[in-house]
Amino acid sequence: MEAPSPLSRSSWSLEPQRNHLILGSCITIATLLWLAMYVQEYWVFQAFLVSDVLVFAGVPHSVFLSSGGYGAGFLGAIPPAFLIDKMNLPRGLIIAVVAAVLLAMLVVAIIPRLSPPIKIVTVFFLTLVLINVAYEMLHPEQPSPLQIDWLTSGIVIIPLIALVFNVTIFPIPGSLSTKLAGLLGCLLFSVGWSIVRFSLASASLFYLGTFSFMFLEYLPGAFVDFTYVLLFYSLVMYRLATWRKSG
Amino acid sequence: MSLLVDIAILVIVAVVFAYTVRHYRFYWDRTFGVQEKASQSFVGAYAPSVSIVCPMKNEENVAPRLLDSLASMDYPKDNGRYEVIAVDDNSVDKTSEIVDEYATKYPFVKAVHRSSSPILSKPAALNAGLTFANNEIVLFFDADYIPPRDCVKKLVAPFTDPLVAGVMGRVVPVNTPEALVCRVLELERAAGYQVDQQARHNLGLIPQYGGTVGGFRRAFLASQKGFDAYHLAEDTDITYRAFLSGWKICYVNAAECYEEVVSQIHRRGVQVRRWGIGHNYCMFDHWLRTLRSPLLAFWSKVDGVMLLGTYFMPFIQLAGWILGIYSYLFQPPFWSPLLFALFLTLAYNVVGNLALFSEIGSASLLDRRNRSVWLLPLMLQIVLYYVLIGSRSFIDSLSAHLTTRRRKRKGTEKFQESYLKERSP
Repeated sequence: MEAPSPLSRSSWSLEPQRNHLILGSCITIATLLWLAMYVQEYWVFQAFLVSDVLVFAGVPHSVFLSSGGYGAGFLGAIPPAFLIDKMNLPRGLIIAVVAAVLLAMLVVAIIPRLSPPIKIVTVFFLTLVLINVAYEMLHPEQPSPLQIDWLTSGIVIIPLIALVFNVTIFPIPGSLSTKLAGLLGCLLFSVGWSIVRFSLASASLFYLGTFSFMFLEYLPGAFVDFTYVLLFYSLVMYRLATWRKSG
Repeated sequence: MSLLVDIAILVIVAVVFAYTVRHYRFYWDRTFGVQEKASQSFVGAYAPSVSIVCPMKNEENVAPRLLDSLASMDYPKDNGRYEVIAVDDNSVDKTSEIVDEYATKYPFVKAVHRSSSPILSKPAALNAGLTFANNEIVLFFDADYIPPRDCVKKLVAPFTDPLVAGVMGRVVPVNTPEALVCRVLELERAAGYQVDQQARHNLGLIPQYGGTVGGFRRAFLASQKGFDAYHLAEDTDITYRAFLSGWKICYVNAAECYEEVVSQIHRRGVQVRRWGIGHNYCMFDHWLRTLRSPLLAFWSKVDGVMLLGTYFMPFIQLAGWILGIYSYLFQPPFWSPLLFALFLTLAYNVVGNLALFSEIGSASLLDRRNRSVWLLPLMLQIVLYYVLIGSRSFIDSLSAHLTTRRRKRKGTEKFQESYLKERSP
């Protein structure tokens, strides 16, 4: 196909697919309602999977599930809780780690061939290790039970994904199956990632301590969610653009 | 302390939400709305006299290309209706000789040399060129731009509307295969012009004059005493001066002009920092006047203030992240149910940021650059980089504004008046 001339591409626009937009809105509302009604079941399902991952990772833990919570609805849902004790690292090992990290930082700083972004990222992560050690020395107490709740389960991202797809993808002219597959793929990835993230954070609590848990639980939540939503968005947009070109 | 942090987070989320709504509005209007064509039906039929000012500072590699493009422009050149004013701005390379050579070769090219000016800045060079411009419309092109043959005809068409003070064309990067950074910047440019500027034009808001590939009526520039010679964003400044005096600026999406974008990320950082500082100066100067202006409609005021805050937003975003982490680690939010805080954080990151990215997706779709969409995730790194650079530029501009700038400004106004008086033909 010929490249569009400046005059035509400057003024054309797309005809929104209103029926797809209405369908997308229905899916968003349905997702919201489904989550409000079955949030308890969803959390329990997540808790079982996280527990399996923790067993695989060799993390001793106990899970507390509420028996009366099924179908408890929007605000009455009772979050499952994990009890995980931190592993007590020998003091000699901690000193060795700190010394190794400081040495690594020095080496990274003096190697001239490393590019600045690599240096910055390396020093950033090594600094996190040092903060983690310092935090553990200041707060050696065992953590309170970890709950799979609104904050940790990643549940809020699910209706947001539906909303984002509804506004930005569904009105674009193109195949409905591509849009639905993109939305479903993104939702499944989101569910999978939420389980991996909580498992990773819980395992890091056992092996590395409280600070690493807080870091892994908070920062990936904020940034990784956006990254994969963006990846799915660009994937679907590419498919829709190709569909327009061939159509 | 805790209450202050909570209130600050709420304010930041509200501001980000407002920008999110604005971006989605633009995305929707440009992707699905009826497009305003900026008087393009008058192209060819309306040909006012035009002066083209090109500031050049050490541009020996690109100056001949621009001057050749302007010499072969499809525009009536009889009776002085078309003139090119090449301003050699204290160049130390061969720019000066190139400019003289073209002035000898073409009768409509004028060479202007600035060799010992007290102000060494682009707007000062533009003002120097302006003093030699004789025609009704004055257009500006930077030396590294390549205007196609029909660019001037398309740019002058909106001046059929007597309320139009200025125009702005679309900038399209031409060196995209050179580096990955260039490809990513192409996406950014496409969203900025194809979607953002066009939507603002469609909605009757504030399309921005971008400093090149555009121009003004000479009478308007004379009434404003030219550009502010000390300003780092003289383009934004003149945009607001136009709207605040009751004029309009038209965005002409069809008037494409090609440019070479930077191919190294640190050079881009330097650019953004400079623009950021200049843009923030405009914010300090114009936000209150914009809100109070009796000549602007309500939504134009809202958009005008939000446009002024574009380079303030990185600072707001960084502050939001830092306060969010602080709040998460050290205190529970005062609104107690954590759900609300979580919802705002997620919405802020996902829906808020994707609003901007959806503009890029839409621009790629409208330009039929399908494969470019694959590069969208790379924009995330660029955005994070801009947050750091933009925050730094906000701090720099605030401190400069509060300390030295006001004093300098008074001096500039006096200088500008005497300079223009002295140099006027």
